[in-house]
Formats: sequence, structure tokens, C-alpha cells
Amino acid sequence: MLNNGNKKSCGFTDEIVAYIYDEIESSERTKFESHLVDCGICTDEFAGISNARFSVFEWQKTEFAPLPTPEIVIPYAAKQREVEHAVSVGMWAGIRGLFTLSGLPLTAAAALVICLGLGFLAMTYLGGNSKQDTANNMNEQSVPPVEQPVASVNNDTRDPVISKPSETGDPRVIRNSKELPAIRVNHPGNGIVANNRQPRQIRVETRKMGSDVAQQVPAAQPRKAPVLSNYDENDDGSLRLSDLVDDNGGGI
Amino acid sequence: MYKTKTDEQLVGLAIREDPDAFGEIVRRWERKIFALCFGMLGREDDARDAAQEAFIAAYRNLSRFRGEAKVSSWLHRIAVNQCLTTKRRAKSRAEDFLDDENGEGERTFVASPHLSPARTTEQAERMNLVRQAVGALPSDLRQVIVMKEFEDMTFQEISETLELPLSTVKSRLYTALKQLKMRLERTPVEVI
Repeated sequence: MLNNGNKKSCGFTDEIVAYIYDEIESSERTKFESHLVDCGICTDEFAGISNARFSVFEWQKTEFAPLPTPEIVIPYAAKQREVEHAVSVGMWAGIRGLFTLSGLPLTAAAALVICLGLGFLAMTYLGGNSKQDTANNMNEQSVPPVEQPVASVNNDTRDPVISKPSETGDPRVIRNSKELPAIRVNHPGNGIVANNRQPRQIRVETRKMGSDVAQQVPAAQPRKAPVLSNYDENDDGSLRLSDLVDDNGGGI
Repeated sequence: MYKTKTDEQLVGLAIREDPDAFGEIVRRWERKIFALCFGMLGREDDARDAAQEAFIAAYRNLSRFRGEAKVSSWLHRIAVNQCLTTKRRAKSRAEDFLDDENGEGERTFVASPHLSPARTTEQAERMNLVRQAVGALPSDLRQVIVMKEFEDMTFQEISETLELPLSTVKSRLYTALKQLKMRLERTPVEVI
């Protein structure tokens, strides 16, 4: 017998509860019902427990049952923001972690990647400048010549292409010579001072270098700003003795 | 689509950012959780807030659900903890503002239209006594009797939800009813 409160029980506590809520098995039901007939204590206990249970049931039926189910609102967007914030914080923490001392191998890898990236950018930038310089040189060298000399100059190699006299005719004649007026370089004694440094026509003297090969100096071209890479020793505008001889009609 | 899935499958979908799956969980359990909160707290507005907070807490902690327990157990545990938190806050508020005993004036009582005014008043007093008596029970005993009466759960379901032996559930329920009987006997009210 168990002592529950002021009254003693027969140990049918589980059966009392199960019987009240109609969850007792059939075999136990018969046994318990037969016991209730003979046990006043359990009968009183059963009555008191049933009364208490009915009070709770009545409270539920009276106050709770009529209430509508509340609408539960879940802030899904807030959760999404939390997730995105966690992801962004995680990415930042990961990047920051690469540069911490604790992850030395990762730090080295990150530094290597950054160096490679900077190197690639530098190569790309310098490569672009080099190409641009080459293009500028090409443009400078491909300026349309005022006069196309007989002996054309290969711009790439800067080696003069020697033409045979049979191909060009008289090597002394420069084509389109009329377009480039000759500038007289006067002798200082004739009172005329050459004050104009315009491009002048240089008469090309053919020097016998062989039996049938004549080297012709390219005709004068408009002077350009001297470019070291574009310098041609044949493009010499200095005063020559032959010019003086020509200017004086062959006499000195 | 979601109606044929188990609670555990729905939680798995909700963890993978499927809000509709969690919505189905809410639909399945909102009435029972609301009933649990009502039985534990005794006030409609507190029960609504507690149920709302319980489901939000469950949604925010979906990733912590390991699947070792049933979803019903997990939800009940969260709801009971939320009810205990609400009760502590209400108690501290009552102490701070010297409110009337258990805030009876704010409660709503739905009177039966078939009762006379005198009977209605009598029933209201009785319901107030029952509410106080249930509220005075220890939380573990109160939870069992609320799950049985308000959620209409079987002993087996309570046992699985609380992860307790079946005999423990029965004994707790017996003890709860016994203590309730004793409290109500101190202030006898005519049973209608």
C-alpha cells in the first residue's frame, strides 16, 4: 500500500489514471473494476482524482476551446539576412585568416598568388607600352615621304636597298626632284645668308663604287625630331664640299 | 506535397532553406503548442506570444536539430522553456508593479449563453480557482496534465514526447491530479 496524501492507496495509481482517461487495457480494466467494488479507499481516491480531472477538462472546454488558433508569423527574411550576414562574416574571417600568423602555409600561398597577380599586371602594362612604342616608331617611319627615292630604305633593317642603274635609269636623277626645290647654300662671301633651316634638297652624288653599282643616298626628307632609334647616318644635312662645288658651277 | 512527409523530413527540408516545409510544421503543431502554452500560462495573450516565440526560436535553431529526438519532443521542449521564461517575466513584472494577484482583471472568460448570470459568475470563479491551482503545480507535473487535457495526447505520445517511461508519465499525471484535488478541496466550489 502506498501513502499518497492523507489516505492510503492500494497501489492502483496507474490503473486509476488509465481508467479515468480510458487508456487501460481490457484485462486490467476488469481487474480494476472488480477491485473498486470491494475497496472504498480506491473508490474515494478515484472519485477525487476524477473530480480534479473534470475541473481541468472544464477549464479547457470553457476558456481554451473557443479560442482561435493564433497566426504564427515566422520572419523568414530576417533568417535569410542572418544567413547572409553569417556568410559575409565567414568570408571576411576566411580572408583575414589567410594573413594571420597561425596559418603560415596559407599565408605563403596567399602572398605567392598576390605576387603573381602583380607580376601579371606589370607584364601586361609594360607589354602594352612596348607595343605602343613600336606602333609609334612604325608611324614615324611610315610617314608618307615627300619624295620616294630611287634607293628605298628598308625601315625594318635600316639598310639601304641598292638599286641597279639599269633599273632606275640614270642614278643621278632623282624622281620628283621638281617637288623639292633645292635650297641654295650660298657661300658666306656672296652676301646671301641662309637663314632658313628648311629641309633642303641634297644633290645626290653618285660615287663609283664599282662597275655597275651605285649607292644612292636617299633624297632629303623633311627633318624630323631626331630619334635615336631612327637615326640614319646617310640622313646628314651638313654642308658638303660637293655642294659648294655645285653651287659655284663646278669651280671653286 | 508536404502533407505526406514526416516531421523529420520537413525539418530536413526547412534546414535547406525551404520555408514552406517549416510552414507545414507550424500548421501541424500550432494548435497543440498554443494549447500547451495556454495550459502552462493560463492567459490567452501570454499563450499566443509564447507560441509565436517558440516557433520563431525553433526556426532559428533548425540547424541544431540533430534528429536524435522527435520533432514533437523538440517543439514541446522549446515551448515549455518559453513558457517558463514568460512566467518568470510575468512574475517579475507583478512584483515590480504590485499588480493584482495573477492579473485576473485582464483575463477573458467566455460565458455559456445557457447559464444564468449567477451561474456564470460562479463558473468564472471556479475557472479562476482551477487556473490558479494548475498554475501552482510544479512545471513537470503541470506539463503532463496540460499535454493530456489541452493537447489530448495519449500516454504513449506524452511518453515519447517527453522521452520518459510510460509508468513515469502515469505516475506524474496521478500526482498532478492528486495535488490539484487537494488544492481545490481547500476552496470548495460547486461543480456545475
